[in-house]
Amino acid sequence: MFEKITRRLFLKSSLILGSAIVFGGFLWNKAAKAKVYLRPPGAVPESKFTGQCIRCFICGEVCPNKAIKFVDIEGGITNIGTPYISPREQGCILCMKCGQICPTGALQKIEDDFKKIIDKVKMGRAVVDKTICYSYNNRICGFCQQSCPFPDIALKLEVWARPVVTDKCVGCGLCEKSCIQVPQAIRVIPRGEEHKIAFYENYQMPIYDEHLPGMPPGH
Amino acid sequence: MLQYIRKIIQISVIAVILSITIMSYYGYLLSAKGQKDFMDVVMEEKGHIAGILYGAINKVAAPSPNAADEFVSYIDMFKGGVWSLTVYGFNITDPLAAVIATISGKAFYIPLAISIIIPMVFIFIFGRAFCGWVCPMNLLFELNEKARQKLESFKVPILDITMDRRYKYVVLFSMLVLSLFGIQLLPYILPYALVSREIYSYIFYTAFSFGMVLILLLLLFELLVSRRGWCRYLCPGGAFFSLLGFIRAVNVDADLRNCPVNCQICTEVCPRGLEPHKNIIGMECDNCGLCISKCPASAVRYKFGVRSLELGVKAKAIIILFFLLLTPYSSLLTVSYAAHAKIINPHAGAQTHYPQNPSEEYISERDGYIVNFSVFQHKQSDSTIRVKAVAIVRDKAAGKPYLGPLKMVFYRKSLFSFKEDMVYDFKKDFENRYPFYANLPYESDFKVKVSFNSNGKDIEFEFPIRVGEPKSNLIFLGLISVILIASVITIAHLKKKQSKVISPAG
Ligand code: SF4
Ligand code: SF4
Ligand code: SF4
Ligand code: SF4
Repeated sequence: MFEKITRRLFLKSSLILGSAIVFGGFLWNKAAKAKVYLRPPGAVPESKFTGQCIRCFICGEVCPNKAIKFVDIEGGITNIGTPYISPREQGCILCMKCGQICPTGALQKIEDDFKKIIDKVKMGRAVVDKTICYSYNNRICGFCQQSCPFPDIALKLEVWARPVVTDKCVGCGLCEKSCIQVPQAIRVIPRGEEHKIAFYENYQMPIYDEHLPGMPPGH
Repeated sequence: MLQYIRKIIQISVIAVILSITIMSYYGYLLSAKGQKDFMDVVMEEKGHIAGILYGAINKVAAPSPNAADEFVSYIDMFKGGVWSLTVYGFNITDPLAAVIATISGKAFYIPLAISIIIPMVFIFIFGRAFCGWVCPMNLLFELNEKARQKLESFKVPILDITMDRRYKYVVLFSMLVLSLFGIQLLPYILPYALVSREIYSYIFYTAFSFGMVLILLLLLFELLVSRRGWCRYLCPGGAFFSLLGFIRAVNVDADLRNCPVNCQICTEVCPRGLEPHKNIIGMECDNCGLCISKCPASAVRYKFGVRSLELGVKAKAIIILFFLLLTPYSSLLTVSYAAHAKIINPHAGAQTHYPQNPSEEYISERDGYIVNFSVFQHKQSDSTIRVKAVAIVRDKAAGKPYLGPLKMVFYRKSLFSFKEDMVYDFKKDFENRYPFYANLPYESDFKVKVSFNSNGKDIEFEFPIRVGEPKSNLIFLGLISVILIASVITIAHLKKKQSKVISPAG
């Protein structure tokens, strides 16, 4: 039933097949821009994470908030099938179930305890986009602070209910989920992309410099 | 009898994956107490399959509000699929997954090592039996083979490419090499890992992902091009289990002294392409027992034989390349899936949903300006989609947002080109609000040009966006598949004619 081929042909074609797979993989890896994703809490460092996760989808099944999504083909070859959180769709409620059940240790076990979570979880850091945040634009909002699991520790309100994120922020994304501005005026920057924080924080509406007629009357 | 037991086991594997995933989703609905409206909507949607299903489960399970958490923690003890399974909180993982994760993660995790003990023992006893008895994809492949036999009995010309079975070890080896560099491709190629994943995708997001395309391609490949080609010649999972099952307790053995007529039915039915009639079985046997059940007591001739069409190496390579080429095209579909998953996700806190989750987001920089462009869409009803496109422009040098006049032009995709469709002209005096909002009424692919004038210089940004789930990609992909199938059939037809000319007897 199976074709007998000569040793020479087999070796030759295996070499072609094998190198096609390996180089194809490398090329794809190079071609796709590796996006940085917000990982579920307890994820080992990114370089290890994509290697250690076996794409079993168990974390996605266990997440009570359906916060965990899985990267599809658009994420580049190293990221395919790995879990990520898209906070604007659903933030992480820090129940720590995913780390408990992950079979490979890609998500580390962290106890469901307030102090331990604040110490150990570092998914990313929220940043306020002062250009569009209501509180920085003549209105008073402060919604994000109310939804933060660590109010006044991770997210403080200053005068005019202006949100200020501190270094204690764990990056759960609940603030991003609840922000009433569209597009969201507060967003979580995943770990490894810290350089983006300045981008959002540095642009501020010149409210006090000049009068702006017709500034956003809500929507 | 043996085959009935095997079928029952195979079907129950799929049933287990399905019910674990469905119960997981039910668990999510139970946990989402804060979203009570949403939960009620899903569970009581009349005439909707999900509504009926979860409503029924809710009636049967009927956990009281206080015991819901307890019930969820019970559900949480059962998770996963064939790639990795958690039962009663105890995890069983595919040894191949563990090997790959250890190599590419460069980390040794003791619970993972413990979780492969049971499968390893299983392999040392039964060898490659996973393929024949457990693999959910194998069941689909077997049904597919039935369809193939139907096609043959209707005299539809199809190909039967045979290759060397050793190629699957080459594939496995290349995967291991890739994982050495941290690229884990394997879980996205192995069909049995894909099956559980697609079940998850569909149940949680009512949309399939890229894996579904691969599954369909493989089914098409085995249907039209090569009989059981993937399992026999290419599957790295089968290769791995074969290697591990080299020494095993349970074997299939053909006693040639009891073979009266050498009918070779056993060889004909063997899904792995082995040759029991010569007792050439070896480590690749998956102990499925088909040859055992089919071996006749008396000499009965087997009705349908497979026409084996000998193709040259080049012709084979071309046909296989065809299939490979389909893969990148199918990524078009995936984008629709992703959009779909986002469109169905409403803002949970609002009674009537408003779009708040961007389906596309761009940050683009040019000439000292940075534009954040995002698209928000949601389904208002089954037929209408409301879409908002938002642009935020920042002046880098001044450290301020740009507030001057701005123009957004939408080019709508017709079959081959983009046509100007809608123009939004935002004036300086903020008759329109900041950020700049545009609304779009229909589903299609668009190209958006955002332009404004800065110090006498025209600055233009361009963003491609997709609104809704345009059907054009489906049509495109369907067209390619039809061409593929047609060409395979033509090749097979020509080959058949050729062989008739050369040897009229055949
Ligand atoms: S901690 Fe809980 S809510 Fe957060 S991602 Fe994990 S399972 Fe989901
Ligand atoms: S449970 Fe762990 S191994 Fe499985 S998909 Fe999630 S992170 Fe990856
Ligand atoms: S500031 Fe936002 S991301 Fe950070 S902990 Fe609070 S809610 Fe979570
Ligand atoms: S919820 Fe959004 S708009 Fe309101 S204060 Fe927070 S960031 Fe600003």
